[in-house]
Amino acid sequence: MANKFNIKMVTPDGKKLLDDCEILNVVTSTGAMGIMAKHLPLVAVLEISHLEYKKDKEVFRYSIAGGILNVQKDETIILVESFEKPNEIDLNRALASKERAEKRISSNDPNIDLKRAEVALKRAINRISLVK
Amino acid sequence: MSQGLTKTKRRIQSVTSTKKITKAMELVATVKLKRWKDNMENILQYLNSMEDIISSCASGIDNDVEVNEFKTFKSAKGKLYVIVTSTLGLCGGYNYNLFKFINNKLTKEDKIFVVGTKGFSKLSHEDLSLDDKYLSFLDKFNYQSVSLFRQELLNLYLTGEYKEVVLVSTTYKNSLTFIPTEKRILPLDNSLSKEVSNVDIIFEPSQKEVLSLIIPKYLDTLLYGKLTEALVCEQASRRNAMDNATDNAEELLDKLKIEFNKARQQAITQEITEVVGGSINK
Repeated sequence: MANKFNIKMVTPDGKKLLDDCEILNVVTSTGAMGIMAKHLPLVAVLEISHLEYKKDKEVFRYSIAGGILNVQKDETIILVESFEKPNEIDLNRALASKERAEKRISSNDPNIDLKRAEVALKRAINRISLVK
Repeated sequence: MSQGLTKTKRRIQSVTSTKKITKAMELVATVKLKRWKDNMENILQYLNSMEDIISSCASGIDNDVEVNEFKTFKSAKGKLYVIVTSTLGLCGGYNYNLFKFINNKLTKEDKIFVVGTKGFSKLSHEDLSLDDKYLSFLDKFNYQSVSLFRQELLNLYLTGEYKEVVLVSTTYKNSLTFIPTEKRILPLDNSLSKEVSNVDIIFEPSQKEVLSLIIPKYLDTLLYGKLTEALVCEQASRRNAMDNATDNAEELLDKLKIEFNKARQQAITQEITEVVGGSINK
């Protein structure tokens, strides 16, 4: 059995996840990455993506809205703006926000912050893809 | 005599209803305080983890890296202030202490973002360049809106017209002590990078890129944390003020009740004397 290590995921709203796992899979800005126990200290930027970790042969999946991964000797800290389990995602809300973001992007309105709309779209798609 | 009686009675009524109001406000402030305090603790935890990461990133980076947030504009004259006050009153010395603190600090060259109407109405009498865009910002704010606010501050800063961006807000020491402080937000302090040795830390993609991505998030968190802290102070201050007001009202009511009873007694005694006196004279 592989060694386990502690992970801690926090959001600014105080949502917290404390667990231990054998392997943690994340998507960084340069590509996917798996982290196992006794990894060297690492700081990485996480994309809007899915995060998963394996604990006792069980896989836990979360959708995260971008963040920072900090692997330290005794603990791995993941700072994210938000994260959800599949059963926490409100599919209808995510679909609605996807539609809204798409409308915004295609509207050609100069007042619209395109970057922000794109990030919103990305987040919505990310959530939807975790559920479906 | 009966005139004094009704007068005291009226006063008792008015003090009672004032007491009801202060009591209710105290309860509301207590509930809000609890909520914001929980929030504050969360955000401070997040901020601390972030500071750890930043300090390990920033160390070892040369001073000449072109991260916008470290840039300084030495030739600029004014500063960009963000002053956090409350919108509602009845919160004790909360606003007053802040005004005392910023007194004489502001100059004509500064641009000032005022948060909270109390601050705006106070400062608008002076000859300063105020911006009321964020007046009711604290009524409804979240991480996203703070992020937009930070972007605006950063953009203004990068125009080169201001040498610093300073946040003036109240910090929470304990439930009775609040200290008005100023915190420089931009340019970032090089001292962030002290003391930590970043031997063997792997950066993905690169140290510089990680840093430039983390810093905006760090600023958001800092700003969000400070604003939350200011709100906690406001509610705590209001709760204390209302607690005192309720106590005072109770004290006053006790006195008034004694006064009322005395007057009533006196009136009765007098009436009896009059009746008895009248029957004797018959």
